[in-house]
Amino acid sequence: MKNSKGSVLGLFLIACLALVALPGVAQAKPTITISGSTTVAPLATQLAKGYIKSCKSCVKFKILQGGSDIGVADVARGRVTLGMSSRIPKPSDPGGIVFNEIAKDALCIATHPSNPIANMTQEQVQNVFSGDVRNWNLVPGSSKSGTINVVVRTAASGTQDAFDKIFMAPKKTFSGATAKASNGLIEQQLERDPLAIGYLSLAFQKGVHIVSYKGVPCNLRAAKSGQYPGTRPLFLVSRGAPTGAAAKWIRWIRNNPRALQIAATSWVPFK
Amino acid sequence: MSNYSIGWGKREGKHLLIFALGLMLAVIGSFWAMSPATAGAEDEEIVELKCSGEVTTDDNSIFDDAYKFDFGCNQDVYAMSIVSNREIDSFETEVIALQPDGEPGANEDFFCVGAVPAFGFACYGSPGKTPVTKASAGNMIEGKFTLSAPVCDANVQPKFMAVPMIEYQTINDLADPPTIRKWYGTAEPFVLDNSAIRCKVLNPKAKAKAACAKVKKAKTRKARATAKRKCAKARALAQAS
Repeated sequence: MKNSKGSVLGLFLIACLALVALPGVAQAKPTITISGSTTVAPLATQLAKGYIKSCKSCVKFKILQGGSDIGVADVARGRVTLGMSSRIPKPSDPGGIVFNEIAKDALCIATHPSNPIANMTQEQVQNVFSGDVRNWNLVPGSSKSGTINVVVRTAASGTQDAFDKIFMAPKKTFSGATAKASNGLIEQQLERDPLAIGYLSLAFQKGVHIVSYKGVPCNLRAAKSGQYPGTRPLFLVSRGAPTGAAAKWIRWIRNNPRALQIAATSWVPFK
Repeated sequence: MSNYSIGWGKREGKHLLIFALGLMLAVIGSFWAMSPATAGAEDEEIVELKCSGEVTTDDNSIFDDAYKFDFGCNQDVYAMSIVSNREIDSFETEVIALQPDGEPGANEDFFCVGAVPAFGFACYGSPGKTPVTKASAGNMIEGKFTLSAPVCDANVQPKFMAVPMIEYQTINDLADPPTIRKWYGTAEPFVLDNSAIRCKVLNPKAKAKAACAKVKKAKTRKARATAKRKCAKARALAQAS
């Protein structure tokens, strides 16, 4: 009699625990972890916030950085849900990954405000960034004289890759250029150094002079209209086709009016 | 009978005064001789870590509930976290340190990472860089973040803190030769001044709802009128928040 009472009590307790635990399990929020491009990171963070509000906190995010190559490597290895990339796929990328475009970005040539070059042709850009031209007095439109300090991005950067493909090919960037890990660091260098030239994403224009390229100003309007020739796609990279919470987020980014409004502040929205 | 008296006369008093003054000077002189300035040894003070910063509203953001922060210390800062009793749902992913003249510190650039929504985020310098990224002593790291909900929708006043990572050092002068050990570690949290965003009323909407619910419950005309006045006041405060 005692034993059966004890068993009933034990079963009752187990049932109570299950009732408490199961709803908790059912309600556990998925977490989308993202790493990679420092160019995409500000956009992704804003889109994450917009989505959390829109879906009423249906998901959490973990945001990391490191550069486009890091994002691609991380997602290929399953270390993150999505990788952020500001470059198109490379032949050397791991197999099985999918580049999901979420917006476009304009890549701008920039100088110190005291060196306000109005415009550069592709040939002029290639001559400067390849190191073929090393003095400002040989650059049309520049009032400066002295050795050009070329500032570029580090190797893991999708921005570097995009710049090489859009502006430089078939020439290569000067090996003596100063390499920086982010748009922000390039922006800083250009703000401080009157003899520097570099390139950065449209979202990073504080305190620098933006140079028109091929006669077209590097601004949001020209990028949206397709006139500006230096635009590049921005991606969230998935391992295979995106699924679950990640897929829902990417769909939201591409279609939801609030998402498109967020992207339109400093980028070209998906549509 | 003589006119002599026993006790302090004028001459004795003068001597006593001179003695007292001399004694006082001797005492003062001995303290001066013992003071660190003249001790002869080179004393090294441990500089106390002092940090400060503030949180203010960011009126240029496309989002509501957007804020700016700045933070700096009297020592170099190699990384930092921002922690709050409010839920943060986005943050600026790249922040820089500004010199006192407003110019960016050279290479003083930090990447910010973390979960959202969460009660904070972390910022670190470029990994693997030489020299190591830091915000130099006296420079202020500036950044932005947004909250998941209006700042006053809570039961306590908002609080924001910064936890810096600094360089620690020990010097063992007893060893021959003396050894110095250096390492990086977090320091204690420093409260950021948020007097610009203190809440006049906490949970203003909930309070307005509660105040207005009393209107229907009021039993007399006078009580209803009082409840209506309180409801209107609470609603105005809720709208202003």
